[in-house]
Amino acid sequence: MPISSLKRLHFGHCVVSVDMYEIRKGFGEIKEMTQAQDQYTSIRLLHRSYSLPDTKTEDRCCFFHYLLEFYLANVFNQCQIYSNFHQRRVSRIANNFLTVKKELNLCDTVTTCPCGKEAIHRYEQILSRFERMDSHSAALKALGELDILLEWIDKTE
Amino acid sequence: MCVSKARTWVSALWLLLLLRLLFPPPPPGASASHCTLPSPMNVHFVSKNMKNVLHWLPPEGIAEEKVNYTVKYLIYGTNKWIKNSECRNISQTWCDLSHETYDHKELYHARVKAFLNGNCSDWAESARFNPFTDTKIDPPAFSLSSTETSISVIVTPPKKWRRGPGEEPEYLHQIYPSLQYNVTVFNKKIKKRWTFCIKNNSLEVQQLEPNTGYCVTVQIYITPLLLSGFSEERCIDTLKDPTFKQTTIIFGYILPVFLTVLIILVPSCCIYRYIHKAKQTYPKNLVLKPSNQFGGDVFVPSEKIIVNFITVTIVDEYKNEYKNSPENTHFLDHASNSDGNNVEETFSKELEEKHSPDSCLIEGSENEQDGNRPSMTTLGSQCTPGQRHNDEVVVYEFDMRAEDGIPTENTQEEFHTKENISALEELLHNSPKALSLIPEKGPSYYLPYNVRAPNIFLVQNLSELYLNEMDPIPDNLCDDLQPPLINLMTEKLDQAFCPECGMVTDICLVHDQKEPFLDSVGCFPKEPQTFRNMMTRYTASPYCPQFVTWASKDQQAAKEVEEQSLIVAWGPQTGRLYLPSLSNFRNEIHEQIIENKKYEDSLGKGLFSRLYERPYSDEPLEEKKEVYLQQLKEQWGLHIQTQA
Repeated sequence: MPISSLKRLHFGHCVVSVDMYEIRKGFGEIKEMTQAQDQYTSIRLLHRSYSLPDTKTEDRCCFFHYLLEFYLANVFNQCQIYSNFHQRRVSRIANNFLTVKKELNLCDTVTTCPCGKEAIHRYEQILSRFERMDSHSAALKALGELDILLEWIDKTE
Repeated sequence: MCVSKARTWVSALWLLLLLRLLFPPPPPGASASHCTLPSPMNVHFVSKNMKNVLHWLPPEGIAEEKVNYTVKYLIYGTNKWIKNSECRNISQTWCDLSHETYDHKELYHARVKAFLNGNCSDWAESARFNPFTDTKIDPPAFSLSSTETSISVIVTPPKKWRRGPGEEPEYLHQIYPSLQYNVTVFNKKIKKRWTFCIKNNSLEVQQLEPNTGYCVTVQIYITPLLLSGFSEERCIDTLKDPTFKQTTIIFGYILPVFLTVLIILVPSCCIYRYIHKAKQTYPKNLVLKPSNQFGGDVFVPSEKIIVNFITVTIVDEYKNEYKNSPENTHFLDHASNSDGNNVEETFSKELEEKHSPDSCLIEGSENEQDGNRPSMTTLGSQCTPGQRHNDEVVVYEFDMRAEDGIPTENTQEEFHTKENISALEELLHNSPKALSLIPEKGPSYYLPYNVRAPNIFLVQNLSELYLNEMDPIPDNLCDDLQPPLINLMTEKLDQAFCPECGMVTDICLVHDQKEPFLDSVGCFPKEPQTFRNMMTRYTASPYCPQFVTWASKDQQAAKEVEEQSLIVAWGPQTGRLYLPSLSNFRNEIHEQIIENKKYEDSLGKGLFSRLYERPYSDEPLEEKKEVYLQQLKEQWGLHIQTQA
């Protein structure tokens, strides 16, 4: 049974690989619980109109980099209040994100991840929504929208 | 005016107050307070290929059939719950929201409310539904086809649920770019399974065994967490290999049958032939060949028979006298450089020149008139000078003293008597064909076998000699007669040699040269006598392998000379040495002549009809014979068989 767990993302000369299987597996175990706790169904942080696949190719790297930073800085570190089971799954996903981020940093971020206007705009939209909510609910919502991010990554060439 | 306005305002307030008292407004939680029913349970989406159906369980403790449900759905990120018109006040516990959730890029929420007799329940919400990741993929359909060595699998690409039959179908691999198929092929014969991962929807599995069952199942793989189950296993047999079929027919059915028939038939035929058809054939050397000259069939031996003559010569003290004689010098000249085999070679050459080689001649010539003249000359005498240097000359390393073997001279004398001649003549007359050229008046010579033209010369010579002997012949003929004599002897030897019979003769006949060659006056009469004295018998026919050569002396010569010669026959191929009993020479020759007669008679009768019997004579000889036989056994390691 082939398991194409590694998703390779090509950003110009920089290539990073994301262990989708580990992330999906970890998220699948906490998804329902996390999404059920999200009371604000009318708010979607990772809106489809700002999706990663639809981003221009030159801005993708930067946008992806922002997303990684956003999750690592604002989402995963807010989950310490959850149960141990929940924490372990979140830690696993967070570590994977860190690995991908290091890979991206190995590349010359100045040359391979130029941040255009669109990337910055999209990230600002997400961040503004996030900051409108209280940090706990926002973190919970962002964590619940992780499958949207994975879908983006999947669809990104 | 202000007072009146104030009065109307107050009255309106009182009215409102009254109304409010009469119809108190519902509190904020008024709806919840009215809906006391328990909520439906386990509200969830069941999605197959993006056909999204909301399922729930009826509220606990309420009779199912009377409960109605209302379903609403919400697109994640929006704030408006939308009522589904089709799922309003329904009694079923599911609601198809495929239309509403058709956009798989959105996430959805749904909620269900139960109603019973005006009473209602709280909304029961489902978890967030992401059709893209939460849908289940159905196992794909596929078709199979096979050849002799391959199986072709064609997978029907799975489609997304369609809102209507007229809608353009959307395939799952368009939605999921990473979609691929896992095709598993199972060999039923060897119980082995292979899995092929293909991106497109067709696969040809090659290099398979013919006439073998293969079972195939297919699975759709998108991500490790999103994959279909295996489709129902379908089996197919690869086609039979036509060449294999032919081979099976040939080696499995035709060949065994054919071989069985062959195995049975061949021995049967052989046995049948052996019993019924086969003609018993004589051995090659027993085959009779037709002969024109004798009117019947004759034996012609197929194999080469080699007969070696071993001559033992005992020379006595008279040899000195012999050397002085002119004839002796002649012989010396003739055979000075010849010793044993050389003589034979010379003779063979002469024979080849003069004779056709297909006759075996038994020949004897006698002069009746000068039967008592002591003279003996044979062609073999040519080798005597070479041999006379020794008292005993041993040819082929065989030692035999003739004087011991020869019992009496009387026996030899008898040999030259008329009996033999008459016998010869008789025989000659019995076979008129053989010597038709011989003048009737002359004495006949026994030529029992096929005599051809060159042999006629011999016969004529003999006749001449005979005639010369009859008539008075001048002395000067003596010199003229010498060459014919030699010629004749050559002829004789040729007859004896008989190349076709494969006989190699080595004849060294010792004669008593002393008197005949010293006596120059009596030269002429001696020559015929030489023929008379010498009788050589060759028997080369296969049924009678014995080869007897004997020489004898005249009686007078025997008185003077102790020299004897004995010729024995030895066949290397048969490994048999024949030693004639010298005492029986006379009887033997007579008998053999008779035997030849009998043989000619027997040719008509058949094979093996002739029994050879050998008479016995003097007893004293037998004792000596035993001694010699003993010596032979010791010296040569021979097995000696005595013919009784």
